[in-house]
Amino acid sequence: MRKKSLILLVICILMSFQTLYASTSTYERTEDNLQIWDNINVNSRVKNAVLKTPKVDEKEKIYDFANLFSDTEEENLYKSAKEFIQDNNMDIVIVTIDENNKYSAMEYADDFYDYNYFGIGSTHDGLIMLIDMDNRKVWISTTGKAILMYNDSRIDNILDVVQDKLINKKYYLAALNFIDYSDRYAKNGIPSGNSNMKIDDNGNYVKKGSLEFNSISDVVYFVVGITFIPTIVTIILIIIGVCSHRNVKKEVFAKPYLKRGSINITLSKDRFVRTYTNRTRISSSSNYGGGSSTHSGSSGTSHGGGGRSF
Amino acid sequence: MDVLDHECPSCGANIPFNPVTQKWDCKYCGASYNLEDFKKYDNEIKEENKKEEKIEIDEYECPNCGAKVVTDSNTSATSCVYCGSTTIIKNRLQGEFKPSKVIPFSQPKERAIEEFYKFSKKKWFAPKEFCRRENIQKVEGVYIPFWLYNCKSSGKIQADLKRFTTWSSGDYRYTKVDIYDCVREGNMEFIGVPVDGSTKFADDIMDSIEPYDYEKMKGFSPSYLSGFLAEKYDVEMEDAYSRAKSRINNSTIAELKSNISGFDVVTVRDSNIDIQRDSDEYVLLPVWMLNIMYKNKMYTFAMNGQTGKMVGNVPISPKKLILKALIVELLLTTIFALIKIFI
Repeated sequence: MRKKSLILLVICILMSFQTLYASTSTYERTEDNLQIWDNINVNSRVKNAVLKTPKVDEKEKIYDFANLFSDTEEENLYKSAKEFIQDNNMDIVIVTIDENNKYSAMEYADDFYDYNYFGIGSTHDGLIMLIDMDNRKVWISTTGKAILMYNDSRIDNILDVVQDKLINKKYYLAALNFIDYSDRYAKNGIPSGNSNMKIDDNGNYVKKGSLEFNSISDVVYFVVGITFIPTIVTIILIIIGVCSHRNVKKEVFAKPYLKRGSINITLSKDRFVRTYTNRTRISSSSNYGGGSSTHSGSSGTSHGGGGRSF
Repeated sequence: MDVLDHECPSCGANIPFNPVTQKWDCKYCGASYNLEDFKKYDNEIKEENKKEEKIEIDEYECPNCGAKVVTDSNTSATSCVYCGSTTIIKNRLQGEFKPSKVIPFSQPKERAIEEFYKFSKKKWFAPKEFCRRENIQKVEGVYIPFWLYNCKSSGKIQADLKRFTTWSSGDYRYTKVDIYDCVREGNMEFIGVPVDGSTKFADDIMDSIEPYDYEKMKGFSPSYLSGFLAEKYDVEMEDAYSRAKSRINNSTIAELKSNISGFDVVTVRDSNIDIQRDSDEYVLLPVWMLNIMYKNKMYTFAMNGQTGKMVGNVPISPKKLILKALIVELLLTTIFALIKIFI
């Protein structure tokens, strides 16, 4: 009897574990209790958008409403996401949906992120990937410091990989690659194209003041920025100056003594030998330069990111 | 014109050639003569003392460096133009001294000194003390012996040619390379390619003060030596010819090469140039030599005695170089910093 109940208990515990990963449970929102961040300005439009957005447990990170992942896959994704969050101090979220009750994949992704308690720090840093099976679109939205970290070319590169997997219906690999590539770029630090940009207290992507140094690398960028061209100009001037000191040199030509008009070309023959053509790929992946393009969601929060069809 | 007395026909004083007026001016009685006057006067003298013909050109030898200079008997050399040694020996002229032509000095001594100041002060990193008058040890007008060669060259070059065309289409950039093989044959003429006939005088300095305007070349008369020194050649005409040949060879290849157009890369693979010497001349070209003593080191400067072109290596002051570089760097950096802050 005791043994039986013990086994039952173990099964129950196991089941409950299982459900933790597999759950796509949502919670109820009411007009009085919208359950959103306090800093969001609530008006009727926002209220409408919030009520159409599912309220989820923000700790789960993987929300597979479209049932694209198996339970073990979801568990693996959850572990990767957890690691990413710990390592990079940024949130990461993956959502899959069958049916999009909003205007676009972008809007859904933004609202889902903004109207749940996602993000780390006051600017809610983090990124979300939405796989929208309704519109057959994938959308990545970045928020807070993640806008700085993932400029347009990085987002493009991640989407290249993810889109390729989605077209081949490898949804799990797409999600895994999303976390993996996001992690790699986070380890590389903020791209140079965003070195003079920052995220202000309201989470907006704005230009940094010229004398605003938030890190040592900012100081280095500033110093290099103002000394690089002057140093090159100075070196060129030194070389010109030194050369002007040495004006004695042996002459090997006799051009000034050439009798004018005495040149007489008697034979001029060009013979074609061969031709060949090389082609090289114009690489866009090597360009990590540019900045990030941003938009604001219904909540008024700024987001970066991009999306593709599959 | 073997016999010539450089004495003022009116008062008998020593009368040097004046580069500014291109005449012989007497400082004592103010009389002025051109070459014609001299010839006339000379003929009169010749008739007066027909028997007393003598070559009045002296030769000086420097035991220190071995340099040999000549001048007329009324001009005396006091120190060696090359090493500055004052123990020079006066001899009678050995052998003959017969250049066919001469370009007379047209720049006076003062101009050479003035030009040296201007020239060295213009250099950015010249030590301040270098451009001082005290450093100028000696300024001497010297006629340097030159061989001039008139040549015809003819030849053939073979070259590999490449032309690049690039365009992009889609994700790719295409580069098309067309390779041609070409031959150019032709001939041309060079007039008066000069080669310095003195071993004492550095070839590179001489090359650097070229060119001279041959239009102003005159038939040689020892009268032009008055007030100046002249050197005798010590490189034979045949030996000097190899330098002229190599310069003509290079220029012929360059001219044939410049006839090739429409290609991005031209590589001369083979050349065969034949140079034929039509005539040559032994001439004297005017050079102002300046010996500058700075920090116990001798610097040689030279000025083209006809055109006034100055050459010479001005020493570099490391202190001045660093200071000026720092000022420029700081100034530019400040400007850049201001631009960055306000824009």
